[in-house]
Formats: sequence, structure tokens, C-alpha cells
Amino acid sequence: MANKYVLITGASSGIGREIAIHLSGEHNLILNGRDGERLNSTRSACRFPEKHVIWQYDLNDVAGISAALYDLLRSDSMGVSHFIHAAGMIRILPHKSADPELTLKYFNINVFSASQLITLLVRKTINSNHLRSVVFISSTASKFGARGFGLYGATKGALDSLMRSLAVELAPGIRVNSILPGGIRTGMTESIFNNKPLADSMLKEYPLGPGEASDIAHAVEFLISGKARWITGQQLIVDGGRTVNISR
Amino acid sequence: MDQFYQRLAEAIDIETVNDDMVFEELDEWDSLTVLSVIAMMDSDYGLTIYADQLKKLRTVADLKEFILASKK
Repeated sequence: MANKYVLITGASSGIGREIAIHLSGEHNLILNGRDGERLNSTRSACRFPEKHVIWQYDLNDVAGISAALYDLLRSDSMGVSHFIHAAGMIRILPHKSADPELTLKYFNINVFSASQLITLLVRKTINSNHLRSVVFISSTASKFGARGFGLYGATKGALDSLMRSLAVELAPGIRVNSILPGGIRTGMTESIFNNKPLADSMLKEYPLGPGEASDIAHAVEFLISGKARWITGQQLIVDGGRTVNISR
Repeated sequence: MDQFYQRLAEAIDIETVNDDMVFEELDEWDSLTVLSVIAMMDSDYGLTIYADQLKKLRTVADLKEFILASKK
């Protein structure tokens, strides 16, 4: 009889870390990231640290995910009931500066790794019938354009399109949704927020002011809960009203 | 550092650069070009530089100095 876990990618920092901390009281967690030290730090900040498992793995290596996940789940007879893809990279660049290597890494981390993980988690021989819901941490860049956001937006748009078809295909047993955060200050977005004029002009556009990682964690908590049992295939925008604001 | 001029020209998207060029006087110089240069500093020299720091480096020579100084 397998113990059920919530798998969170990108758990070493930012939104992934915040999600882990919020869910740690009610759930066993598998904390995935590249940095073992920071994963340990996330686990220490969680409630009941001894209940949670660290899975140090670089999602850029998509081909190796299958073997690595299989080893992880088999070794401790673990099942994954919820999968939250909070791993992601951002590199705002004019499209003229994009190159194939960067593009591939972008898609590997933001999209292909999530896709491959779900492929595995829905296979009975790997995860039995344990999976109940999936949440992708997408971005408002999935639905709207911005200078320098071509590749980032492309990866998040791909994620959300995948989400919609999976929601249909995996129903009724598994719900799949995306959360689309607006701009939130974390380690990943530090370089954007450090540009003060840019940060100031950004925040003027947010009717509810700046958002925090915990705002996203709360939305995740809701989406994986039984209270969201009739919600699937949705892009839930959590952005302080920014993307509905067309005032000058 | 031998690639510096070529890589910087690529990042700005002009044919060549020289030490005397003032960034803000270039037609191509805008907020996105700043990001390209910042990305180049990171990928080529492992240097993290923010937009407001880059603002203080007026010329190509200033940028080169900055990189050389950080290597010490």
C-alpha cells in the first residue's frame, strides 16, 4: 500500500518553495529541484519535515526523467496523487538574441519535463491509479504579449494548451489546471524587479498592488482540494487585476 | 576577452563596436538591447549586472574595464 505524495518541481525557491511550505501541513511532499542545499532548506521550513522527500534532479535532462522517477517511486513504494509543476526559467530577451540552445533549454524545463512527468505518472505500472490532479504554474505571458517575452510566452502557451487536452483526456479521474501568475518578485524575477524604473511602472498597472508567492500557493491549495472537484481545463489568472486593466 | 568586441556587436546587433562608442548614442540602444548585453555578460563572463549598473557604463571601453576589473 503506497504512501501518497504531492510532487512539486521547482521546490528549491520562489513560488515552488512557497507552495511546498503551504501544503506541508496536510500533505506528504516530494520536493524536486537542482540544488540539494536549497531543497533541504525548503524541507526545513516545512511543517513535519521528516514526512517529505527530496528528489534532486535537473529537469533540463528530459531523457533521464523516466529512469530517475521510476527509481524514486519504486524504492520507497511511493505514489504521486498531485503534481505541481512550479519549475521554470525566464530570460527576457529581444527575439533577435534568441539561439537554439537557449530555446531548447527553455522548452525542456518549462514544458517537456512536465509533459514527460505526466506521461509517467498516468502509467499504471509506475504510479498505479494514484494521480488525482495536476497544476501547472504558467504565466499571464501565456495569454498576453510583451517585449522580450517571445520564448517565455511560447513555453507557457504550450503548457496551457497541453493542460487543456490533458484535462479532457484524463477526466474523470484526474483534473488538470493552470495558474497564471502576474509579476511576482522571486529569485527567478529578481533581475526584472531590480530595474527600478521598470519595477515602478509595472506596479502602477496592478489594481491590487504587488503580489506574493503565497498568493499563488493559496490558489494551488484550492485547485488540488476537493473544493475544486468540478474545475478542470482552466487557466486561473492570479495577477491583482493587471491583465484586465486598460486604463492609461 | 578577444571575443568581446564581436560578441558585444552581436548583442547590440550592429556590424562592429569600438572603445569610444557611447551606448546611449546608438540608434539600436533601448531597453531590450540592454537585456541582450546583460545576457551576454552572464553567458560569456558569468557576471550578473543589473540595468541600473549598466547605465553607469557610458562607453564600450567602460564596459570592457568593468569586465576586466571583475576578473581580478
